[in-house]
Amino acid sequence: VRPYDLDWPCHNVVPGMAPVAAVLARTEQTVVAMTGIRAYPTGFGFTLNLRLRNLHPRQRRGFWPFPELGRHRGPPWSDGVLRLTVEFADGHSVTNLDPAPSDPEVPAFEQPMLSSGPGTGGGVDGWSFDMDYRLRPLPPPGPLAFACVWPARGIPSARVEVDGAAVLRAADAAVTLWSDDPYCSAD
Amino acid sequence: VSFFDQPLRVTRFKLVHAMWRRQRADGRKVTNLDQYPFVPEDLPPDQPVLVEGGGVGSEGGRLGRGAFWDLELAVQPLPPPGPLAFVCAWPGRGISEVRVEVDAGLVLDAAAAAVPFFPEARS
Repeated sequence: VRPYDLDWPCHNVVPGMAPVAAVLARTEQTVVAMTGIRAYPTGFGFTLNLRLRNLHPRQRRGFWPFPELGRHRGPPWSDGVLRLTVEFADGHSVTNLDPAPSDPEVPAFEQPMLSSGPGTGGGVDGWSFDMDYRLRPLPPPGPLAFACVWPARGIPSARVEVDGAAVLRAADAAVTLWSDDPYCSAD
Repeated sequence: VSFFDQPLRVTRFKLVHAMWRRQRADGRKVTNLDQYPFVPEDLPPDQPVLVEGGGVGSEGGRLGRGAFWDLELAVQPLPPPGPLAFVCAWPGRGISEVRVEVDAGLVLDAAAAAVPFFPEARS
């Protein structure tokens, strides 16, 4: 098994759940929320909930706010992308604009990252999207901050903090299903 | 044949054999075999409904091993206080019937904390 072949998060683990949900930003036409923290031994995941309404016809064509998944269709609006940052209590942070880990010889779970997908969504004059994000490593105890900037949607800056210890407690409750899976040995 | 090549057929096949159901403290229950694709408008409001939402999964995967699915399920209405049981049977995988109970109060507390995305849009 090559290090780069190791899945993360591993499907061999039932994550622990942290009862955390927060509205990150709200305007008249846009809401960004974060729900459902799922914690693994070496990191955690959450769902970013986006709700948009009264989209301008120009925005409906090729609307795609997730820069980490590449430009979808339409023009490359620099202000149109959602910039998401997660900040740890020790000062470390990771964003959805950071380059993906690329070292094939370093196990994926040892490289800090914030990645997205899968997600579901759609709409016509409004837009709804629930995107799963995965982040590693686990945060230290203390405030765990989620911040976003989305100029095109009238969100210059927004930030909420949750308890990092709640994520750690959830990680302790994660259950490894089979201990002999060579592709998931570290998680 | 990969899961993604024939998602609907494979999903249905597996779910029929999994036979998930939820059982509430007042005796009402609903199973995935009821197969509600959506919530029927003429259904009595106290009739439990289980609807399958989005999901991801793979058979074999890029490493050629096993299979996994993560499915989103939604149930209405909210359960009454008391034990909320999740029961599954999957004879094809050697699981006759297993059951776990959780405190429905946790679900009710979470529901009380839910907020609408756009409050003024509530009908």
